[in-house]
Amino acid sequence: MNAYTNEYAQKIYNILAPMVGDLMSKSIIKSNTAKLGIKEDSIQLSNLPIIAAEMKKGLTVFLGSGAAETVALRIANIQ
Amino acid sequence: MKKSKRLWIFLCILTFINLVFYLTRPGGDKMLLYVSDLLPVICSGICVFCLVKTVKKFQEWDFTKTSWLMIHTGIALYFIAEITYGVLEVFEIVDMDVAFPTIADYIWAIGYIPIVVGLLMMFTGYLKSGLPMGHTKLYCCVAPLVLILLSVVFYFLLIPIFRDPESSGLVKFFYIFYPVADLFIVIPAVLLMYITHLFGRGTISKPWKYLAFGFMLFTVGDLLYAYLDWMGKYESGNLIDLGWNVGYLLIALAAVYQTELLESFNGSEK
Repeated sequence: MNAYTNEYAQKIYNILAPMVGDLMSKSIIKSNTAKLGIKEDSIQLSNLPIIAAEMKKGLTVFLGSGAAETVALRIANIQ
Repeated sequence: MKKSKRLWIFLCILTFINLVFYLTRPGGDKMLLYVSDLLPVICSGICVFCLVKTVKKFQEWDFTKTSWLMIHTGIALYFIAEITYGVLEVFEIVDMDVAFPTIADYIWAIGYIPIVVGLLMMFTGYLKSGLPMGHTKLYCCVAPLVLILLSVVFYFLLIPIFRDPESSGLVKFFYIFYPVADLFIVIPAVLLMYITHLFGRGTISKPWKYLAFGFMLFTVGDLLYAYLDWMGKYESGNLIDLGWNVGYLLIALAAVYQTELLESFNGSEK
């Protein structure tokens, strides 16, 4: 499903959606980009490590820090 | 076949057997007594086994692992209590209505503590995670409904038990303890259920969903048990036992879903 025009936002969405669902994925992307003071459609490659680290905090409660780190790495390593 | 699917099949078979025995009573009251004491031991045993596997699956020792360990500890105590109850009733031929509260009740009571702690850890962990909490308006609408429900339970169940002159202080304490302690479990469980609802069909929230369902079934079972036992209408082989048995298996399913989720990241399929 194409939810974003920004390719990085879309790739993050593709990683998150199977795990947390459509609505929550969008909500997580929105809140984490807002923390950086940017919009979802203006995510750049350089923003990914910070976004990934923030998302890890949220995912740890469900997955534990080990698996959350794996997801965070997938996001941080998006090309 | 996935472990969760196998457990689902087992849950359906066990529920069917449970229903057949409770409704048709083949073999008479004696057989029903054996079955009603054995099934909770089997169900809680499966639950403990699945929870051990889940706790082991977490790679690092953090609050998420600790919260699952707490739930495991509580269910393990329930398992011991189920065995104790069965041994007392089947082998020691203790009249459980007369002997209430038995040592099993003390073990159940202790088991509540780690379970409440575990669920609260999950909930506070979620609060700290910064993930969305849902609509504030909904919390405002649901809170009065919960208060009304609690008032009904207190007015029609707990206050009459408390005022009953025929029951001793210790008996009253345990009749009241179960429903009250259940409230401490069901409130975080309902909150977890609402949170998981926000995730839609996302795989990450499935374990919490089944945990919440399992604990809610326990609460319904305990409330009905407190009422029926106080009225002298509870006997081994009552249909409400099904609530506890299915509750155990739903919590076991939660554990299996969590294990499968973690395996999908660890890349192992043991």
